[in-house]
Amino acid sequence: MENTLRDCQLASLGKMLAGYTHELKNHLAIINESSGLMGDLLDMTEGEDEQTRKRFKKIIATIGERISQANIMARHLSSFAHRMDMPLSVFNVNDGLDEEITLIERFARLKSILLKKNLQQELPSIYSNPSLFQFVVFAEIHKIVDRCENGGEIIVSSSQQDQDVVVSLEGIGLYGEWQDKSSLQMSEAVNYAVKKMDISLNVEEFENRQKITLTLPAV
Amino acid sequence: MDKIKILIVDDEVEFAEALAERMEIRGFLMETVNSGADALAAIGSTCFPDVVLLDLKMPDMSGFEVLTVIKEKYPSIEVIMLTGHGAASGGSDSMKKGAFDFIMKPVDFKDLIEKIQDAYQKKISTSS
Repeated sequence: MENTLRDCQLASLGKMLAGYTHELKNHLAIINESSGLMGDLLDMTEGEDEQTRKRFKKIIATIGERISQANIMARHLSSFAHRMDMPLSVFNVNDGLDEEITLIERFARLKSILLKKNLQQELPSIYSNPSLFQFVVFAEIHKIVDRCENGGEIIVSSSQQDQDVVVSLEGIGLYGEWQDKSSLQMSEAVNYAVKKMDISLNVEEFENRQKITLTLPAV
Repeated sequence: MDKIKILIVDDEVEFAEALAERMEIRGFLMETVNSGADALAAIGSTCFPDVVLLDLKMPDMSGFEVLTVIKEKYPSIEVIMLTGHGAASGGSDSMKKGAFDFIMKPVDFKDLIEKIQDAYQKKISTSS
């Protein structure tokens, strides 16, 4: 019953998030067309007050750039939300990692941590629980971010090794132990998720560096 | 060359109007309605579009329902679906139901114009 409740809770959360991002995209679409129309009308005033026209064009370009960025975030949030609909499915870990990196980039940026990705193209798909996979990756990156000093680096990589897909999360510039108040609970949850997904998680510690490797069987 | 006649069906009034005005500037003949029911009432009586830009999610009738009726009654009209949905599945499902193509919101304007021109080409080549 507990598992069913959790699955239903996640599915509801996913539906809410998906609806929310859909609305967000509608707003972005209106802003996009409105600023596009401003640009079109401005083009019709060629020859008039060039300095002001130049300023407006620059502002419109900034709006366009921000809409593109917000749209990428909304798209990833929406895909992330839809993953909660399906407890088990065939998916590409790169898609899951792309979504997560976009969504957690802010946590890293606030600590001036560089989040890099090195994802192997044309990776085979895996059959697993996508939201559990994303939870494990989130929890592990969150731990690294907590331990990372300003100016540190996190490298998220994916590759194929024989019949497996390997995801590695490498933190550079770490100090101390992870001492989040919820650390024990979180570690237990990660261990449970790893066991439930039947994958392996390996942690290697070096001086000021940590490498977490997840090995998932390819389909 | 005849001007391409386009009907935008979208419950977001500001979106439909701004998009219509931008396309009018580029020489298209535009009309807008804000519900599926209004679209079905207009097509064939007051409005004879070459291409319909149809929002997938609307409160009264879904884009799927409107698409099905349009393709049944007026198979020569090409329909491009507009979707704000994160998953592209809604768009690809609508293509199985006869839509020419789909485009995600916020719209890439250049991409939209190209798709409309392709849809119009298909319409005139099918009609002749």
